[in-house]
Order: sequence, then structure tokens, then C-alpha cells
Amino acid sequence: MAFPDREIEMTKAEITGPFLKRLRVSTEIDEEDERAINSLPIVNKRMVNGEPIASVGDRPTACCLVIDGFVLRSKIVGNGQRQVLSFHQPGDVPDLQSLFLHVMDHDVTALGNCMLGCIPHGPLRELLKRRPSVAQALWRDTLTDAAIFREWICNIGQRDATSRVAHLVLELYARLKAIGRTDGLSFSFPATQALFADAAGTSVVHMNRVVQELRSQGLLDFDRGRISILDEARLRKTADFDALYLHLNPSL
Amino acid sequence: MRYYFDIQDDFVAVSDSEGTEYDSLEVATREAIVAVTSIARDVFTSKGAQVTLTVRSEDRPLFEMTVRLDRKELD
Repeated sequence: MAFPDREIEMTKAEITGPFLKRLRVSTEIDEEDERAINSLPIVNKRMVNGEPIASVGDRPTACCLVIDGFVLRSKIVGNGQRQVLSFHQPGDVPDLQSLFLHVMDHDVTALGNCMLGCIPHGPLRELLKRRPSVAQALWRDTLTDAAIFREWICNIGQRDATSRVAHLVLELYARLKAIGRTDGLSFSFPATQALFADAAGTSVVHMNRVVQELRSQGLLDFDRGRISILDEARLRKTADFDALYLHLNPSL
Repeated sequence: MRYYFDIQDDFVAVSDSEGTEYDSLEVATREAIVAVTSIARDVFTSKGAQVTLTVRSEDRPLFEMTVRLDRKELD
């Protein structure tokens, strides 16, 4: 087998850490809820870049929690072109919908090498029945997911390519910052320009121009898996970015 | 085959150093049309008027496409 260490020993706290951190910030889960989440059976799995996690037509029996690295959701449209629908980071459960919508209507794929925790549907459903606060927290999560999709529709439908890419970068930055995975104004993100093009709904050639333009304007830099924001205020203006839709602050 | 797409417009000149793999010249041409017209939209709405896309193979230039905005005052 290519990955003898595919199932990795980790403590529950390490596995659920980013997930609980996010739920704690944005919802009202208590210690008992956290204990219940930590007692879920979770199987760790290492995935390599591009490896499918769930594909259109699949009937998953577990939800995957991103423990480390990134995951993307995408859909292939009629002529074979791929639209990237969302990017997911540690603490996200990108296929949570499979708990209630049994057949996958899009693909979930590893973006770079990543580590997932597979939570079987049965125990997760039981947990939701027993712990209403956890159910509410995951419901809130799904609603936030929908808010992000709405913003992506606005982004792709109404902004020019340069704004779209700037917006995408600021979204990644804001979400990663919330879980402490940024380094000043820069963060690591393993997407190629072709992948960014598929997320922004542009051609690779157009994406190339956008990157050059953002660089030459001193707004941001892409360097082999690392994105650095050079001028946050001006980038926000270019992006027309308002983080409200991320609902990162529950007190609002 | 690998194709390289260089862009020249009113604001930037981009030389493609990485290139992209396409199955045929036809597919690369379609990509060029999609790219040059969508770039044109962004350039023209920023008061530019011309975009030229030059498509190269590994060793030689293949073709060039230019999109120009012509405006004629009628009043």
C-alpha cells in the first residue's frame, strides 16, 4: 500500500481542535457538548493532492472533518469545464450535507496533501438527537456555508476578474485568520493558478493577467503555495470585500 | 501540446512562462477566444481600448488575436 501510515494515531483533542475552536467562537456549545463531540468515533485518513474524497453519485456513509490542509468542492459542467464551488480549511466539514442528502451532487477533493477525520453518519445522527446545541451549531454552520455561496454568486456574477480574485484571497485570509493559520498578512494555500481560475470563473490566461496586475499594483503576491497581502486596505477596495457574510462574529 | 499565451493591453504586458497543455490547436484557440474577450471586457470598462493575445508553442509563435473597442460618436 502506498500509505502504510494512512490511518494516523492522534489524540481526539488534536483531531477536533480546529472544529471545536470554530464552534466555540460562533455558537453556544458547552463542555458537555464538546465531550460528546470528542467521544465520536473518528477515523483519520491522509489524502494526497487531487485525491477524490466523495464524487457525484456517491452515497457517503461518513462525513469528513478537515483536520489539516485543504479540501475543495467542485462540479464538472457539460463541456468538461470545472467550476470550483468552495475551499475548505481545518475545522470545516465540507460534506456535512451527506448526512441528510444521501447522494453527492458535486465532488469533494483533496487540495494539496491533507488530513481528514471520517465521522460515521450513525453516531453523528445520534449525537444531534441527544445534544440540541450541537445540532444548532451544525445548522448554523450550514447556514454560513450558504451565505458564502451567495457571496460567490455575487462575486462571479457581478465583479470583474481582478476583483473576484482579490475577493477570494481576502475570504481565505479572513477565514484562516479566525483559526490562527495566518502569518501576518500571508498564508500558505496550495492552489495553482489554474485552480484559482476555476474558482473565479475565468480562463487560466485571464487569471495570469490578474495575478500580474495585482502584483504590479503592489496589492498581493502569489509565490508557490504562499499568498501574501501587500496592501490590505487597497486590496479590500479592489475586492469590494465586507466580511459580514462570513458571520465570524456571533455577537453581531 | 503546450501552448503559451502572452497578453498585451493598455495596462499590462504579460509573458506566459509556464504555458498550458491542450489536446489540440482547436482547443487552444477556443481558450484564446474566451480569454481575450473576457480580458477585453475588463480592460474596456477600465477605459482601455485594445487587447492582443499572442499564442506560442514551445519553439515558435502560432497566431495573434486582437480585440479592439471602436467607438463612433453619432451626436
